[in-house]
Amino acid sequence: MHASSLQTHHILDERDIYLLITRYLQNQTNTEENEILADWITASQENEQTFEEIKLAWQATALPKAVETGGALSRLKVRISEETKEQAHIKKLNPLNWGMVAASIAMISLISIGLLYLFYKQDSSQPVIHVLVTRAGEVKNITLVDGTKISLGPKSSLTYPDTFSSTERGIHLVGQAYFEVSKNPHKPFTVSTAELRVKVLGTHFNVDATRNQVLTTVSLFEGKVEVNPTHDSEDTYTLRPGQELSLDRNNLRVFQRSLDSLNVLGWMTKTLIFRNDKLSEAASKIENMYGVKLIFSDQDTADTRIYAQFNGDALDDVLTIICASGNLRYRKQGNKIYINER
Amino acid sequence: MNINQTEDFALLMRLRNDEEKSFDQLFKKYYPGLVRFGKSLLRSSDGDAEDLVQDVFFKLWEARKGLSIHSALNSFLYISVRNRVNDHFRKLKNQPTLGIDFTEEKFAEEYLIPDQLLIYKELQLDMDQMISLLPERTELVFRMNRHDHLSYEEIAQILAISINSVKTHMYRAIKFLKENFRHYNSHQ
Repeated sequence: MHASSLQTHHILDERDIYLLITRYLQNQTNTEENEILADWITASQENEQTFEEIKLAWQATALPKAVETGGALSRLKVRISEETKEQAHIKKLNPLNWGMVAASIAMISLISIGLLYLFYKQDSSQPVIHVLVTRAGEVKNITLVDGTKISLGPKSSLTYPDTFSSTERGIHLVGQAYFEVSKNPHKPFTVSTAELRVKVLGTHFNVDATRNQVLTTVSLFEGKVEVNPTHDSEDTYTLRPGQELSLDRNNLRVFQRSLDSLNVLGWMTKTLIFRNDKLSEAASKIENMYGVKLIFSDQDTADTRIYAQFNGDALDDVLTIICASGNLRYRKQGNKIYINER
Repeated sequence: MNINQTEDFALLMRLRNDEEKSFDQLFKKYYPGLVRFGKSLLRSSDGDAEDLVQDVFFKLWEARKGLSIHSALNSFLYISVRNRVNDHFRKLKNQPTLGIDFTEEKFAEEYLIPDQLLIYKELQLDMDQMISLLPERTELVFRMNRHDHLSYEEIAQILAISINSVKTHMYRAIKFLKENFRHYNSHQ
């Protein structure tokens, strides 16, 4: 980014300003550049208007028109399955087909060129990406290079680099995690999930983006965060401590409410808390804690409300108590649990 | 390491575990831009560029297990397309036209004048169609930055042009879209 950074004592022409504005809108500017931009915007009404116009135009081009790629993708899939079959066939029946051998050598060398390129990039100080994965019932703690502490919940994965860029700190989460972000106002910390992005300066919060759950929830304990849904990234919600924001994956609706810290952080102490929750909503928590799959016989069963709290109890105890309170019955088959009404 | 890169890395990690869905996602995300890029290099029918980009994704699928991931996927894909185009020209025993075609160009008065904008307004074009009205190379650079999240440096490297000309393309695109957007709104 050095090449595109601005020098302080440089006189800005229109091109510099336009590019600075769009880089700012992409979160790519550093503090110094932000200050330069702020000064420029406040210098005149005309500048402010230009900024607004570029911002609107830029935002309006956020997504390209959806291009139909389905046809191309299915043609590629056909080719992949055909070539895989063909290769298996040739291995068995015709090991000395030299044309094929030549083709595979060509393919191997192409792949190696790809790898070489990747290794080469590694040497040029690209960050190395780590992925932390947890199994059912497992919680892992990690401290990132910037001092940020993260507890990763069961059946989750966290993708993070070993170094951050000079302007931002970005990580990707699938599942659930609790964050204590180290303060650095010059480098905002961003957690992205499939549904939303959470941008923070330094704070304590929990993100629950468990895949098989209807709601993605951000719960804030300390500090301040901004949340942008992925489907509409121009929409920004600011949370205050004690609040949580949920996004419903079915209808993309967003709602805020005050949080229940025991409920939110229960997973850290292997506690399950259900307060009049639907069984279907409780299911993913049970599944992630015990590594099982819950299957309901019908909608009524899935809609059964449960009110219970468990702390490290055995799976059978949890299921027995839930079933007793809802007049339900369960049957185990491998790691699948079938639940139906009595 | 930006947000787009972390998302791509997560998709690649899942691709390693044979998750076809993440392959589909990557395909949908980058296919249109890569085909546009391929076309601009090949200067021939759409079909050729599509085949070539499919080859690149085919190789990505084949290599998924062994990929050790240390670089930005978007620029990796663009460079793979460029390399395949070079191979293609080499096979045709043509002079590689890349060097000539992609040397610093003069952007002449390809620029749209306000009167034309009014006509487009009447046609009720949306912003994406507006982008398509940009000179081809400018459109390519703009979309590489805006939609495929490549930095100016990466674009310069992929297109073998200077960062300065990437910036000029971007500036012209932004200026054009800004003027248009204002126009568009003030007439609604």
